[in-house]
Amino acid sequence: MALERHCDRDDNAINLIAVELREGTLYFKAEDDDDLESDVFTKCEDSKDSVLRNQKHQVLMMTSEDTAVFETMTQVEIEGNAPQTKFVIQTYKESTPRGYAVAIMVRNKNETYILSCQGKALKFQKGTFPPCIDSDVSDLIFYQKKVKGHEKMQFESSLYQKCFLACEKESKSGHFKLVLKEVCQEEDGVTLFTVKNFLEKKDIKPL
Amino acid sequence: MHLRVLVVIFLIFVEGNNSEECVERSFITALEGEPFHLKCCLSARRHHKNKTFTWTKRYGRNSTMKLSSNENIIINGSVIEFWPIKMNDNGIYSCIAGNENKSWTISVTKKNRHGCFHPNHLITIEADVGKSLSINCIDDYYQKKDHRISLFKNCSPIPGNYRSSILKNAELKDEGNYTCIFFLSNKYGSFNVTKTFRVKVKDNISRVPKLFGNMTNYVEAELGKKKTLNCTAILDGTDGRLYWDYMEENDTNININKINSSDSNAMTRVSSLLEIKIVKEENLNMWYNCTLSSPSITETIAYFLKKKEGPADISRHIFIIALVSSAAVIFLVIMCVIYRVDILLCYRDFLRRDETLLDGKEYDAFVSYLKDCQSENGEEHKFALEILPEALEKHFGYKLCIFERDIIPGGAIVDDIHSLINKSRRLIIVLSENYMSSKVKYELESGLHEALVERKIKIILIEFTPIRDFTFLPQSLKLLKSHRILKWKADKSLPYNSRFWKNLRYLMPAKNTKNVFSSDPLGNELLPVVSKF
Repeated sequence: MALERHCDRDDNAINLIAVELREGTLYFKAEDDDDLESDVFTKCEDSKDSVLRNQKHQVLMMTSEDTAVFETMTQVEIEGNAPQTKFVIQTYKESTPRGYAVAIMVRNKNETYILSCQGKALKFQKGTFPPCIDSDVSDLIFYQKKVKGHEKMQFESSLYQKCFLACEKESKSGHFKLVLKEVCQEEDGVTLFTVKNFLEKKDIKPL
Repeated sequence: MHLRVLVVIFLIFVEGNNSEECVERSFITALEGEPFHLKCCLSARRHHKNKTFTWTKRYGRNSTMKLSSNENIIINGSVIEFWPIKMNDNGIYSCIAGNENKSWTISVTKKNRHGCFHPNHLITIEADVGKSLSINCIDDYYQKKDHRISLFKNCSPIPGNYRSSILKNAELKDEGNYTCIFFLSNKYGSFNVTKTFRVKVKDNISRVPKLFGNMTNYVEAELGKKKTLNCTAILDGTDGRLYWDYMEENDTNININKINSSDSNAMTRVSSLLEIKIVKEENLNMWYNCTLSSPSITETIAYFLKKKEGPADISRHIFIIALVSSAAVIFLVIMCVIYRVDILLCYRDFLRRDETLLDGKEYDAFVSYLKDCQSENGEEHKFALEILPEALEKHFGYKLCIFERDIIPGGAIVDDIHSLINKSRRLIIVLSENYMSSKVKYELESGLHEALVERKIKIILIEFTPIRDFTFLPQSLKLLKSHRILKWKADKSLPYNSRFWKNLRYLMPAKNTKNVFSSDPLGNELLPVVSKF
């Protein structure tokens, strides 16, 4: 009986009471919008400290609030340059699951920064992971996707579709920088990352 | 023109190559006894070739010493070179140009005398089985110096590989430590520069996370009881999350418990149990979604919690069913009682019962009525001689014996009456106040005798006019069952489908009268032909 009731079409339908065309957009108004649930990203309990590498096996490191570069590093150097090489990947659960939603945080000089792609430019903005993001897209949320057959990952912005975190060589400085790149072909090599656990060895310490 | 373009391209190339060596990381490791260099790139000053760079090294906490070229250190503008670097070169180095400066911590590792590489000095390369594995011994800085390059795997030459690079599809056996050795020789001596790659090859073909169970599940829960919903998945390593989504996530009545267990092939079996401690009304008719979210797959299974009928509900249902069915039975009984005559008549028609065939009697009924007083009781007379025969004989197919009509005058009346009553199955007495005349008294008494003493005949009393005082009737008449007394209600009783005729037919013997109703082709059976009085 409950099944029949729940599957009743009317139960899941929304009555629209007004339709309006404003500036080329068609707006609908629901009769009773109490039942409408907006999409929300909610922080999961656990996060993961990770090392991100590009296709050339270079390790990502945050250098300033608007820059992160890839450099070839030994394991000792990765640990010695922490916490700038330690990227905290925090998963978020979605009310409408679309993928593996993550936010990326890094620490530098006793400050924590979250990677944002607002305006399609990458920036590390001061702050910690928000417990809840009341929107279906966010500049802080990326979808981590595994490339089929590879151990490689991609990070697609939830705010800008087809825009991925990528490694790009800056012609002026010659640095390999972390950028947000719009790609048509999804398996573009520059968007591929290796994500590994950050394992801090206690016995090896920088001077 | 062409020459100018080429020169520009060359300059860009050289500039580009130089800038690649800028080191942003502040902690750098170096191997003892190997040449080492640092290039200082300060953003604003980088292209100012003429700018002077000052190199310093910090000793202790606060003392800083300006560096200048010595036996193993060569300062060349923005580049500091060590030929080679020694253990005591450990320290914090700074490069100052104008107002800008940059510092590095150089950590020198003692070289491993037994191997060609140091385990703390490895660059990790992650490769996937079947995908490309590329190891290329390139060093942008020393490449330009006079050099020779060799590539070793686990400190041994690679059979069949004479080049300084490897490009192939990775196999599991390719795992190992690959060391590039640059042999340099200059005025400072002969040196080896090493760069070692730790190659890890992963086989991940069969590792696909999976969420178990149907997409949609309708689950019964009993009010007041505990309910656990199970969501189990196989995850690839530690990547992936299993989470629940439902309304009222802050409800303390709901607990989520996670159980992890490692599986073979680095897969992890994860179960997330949603436990409702005490199922309440608000927990019912709700969706509980369990989502497996991983980089390779995102799947959701949904549980809909519906109410399970508890024992209390079942007994209530049984009570309701019993109540309804007993009410139905009572109603049916009442209807049967009310319409018993109709039901019996239908039953007779259906079975085509005929009680008249084998009893040897000639008439179905003997009609006894007041035969005198034609002027005063014309209606009674008409009823007995016209309406009654019209209905019973012509319409319902009975055969009546009406003394006046059927007996040839002249015989012995008493004998005749007696024998006629004997030949009849029923005695119909049309009662009225004036009935008890001497003429019919014998009929009545004879009939009563037959009915009550000899039980040979059944009497049907028709109360034609309302009788207020029955004292004039024989006492034995009272012994007749009440339903054997029919009341004639004039017009109301006139139609053939009236209660009067039905009751009369019911009291009359069952007779197969199949042609009776079909005798009127128009089906006009509502009124007898003689009804217009």
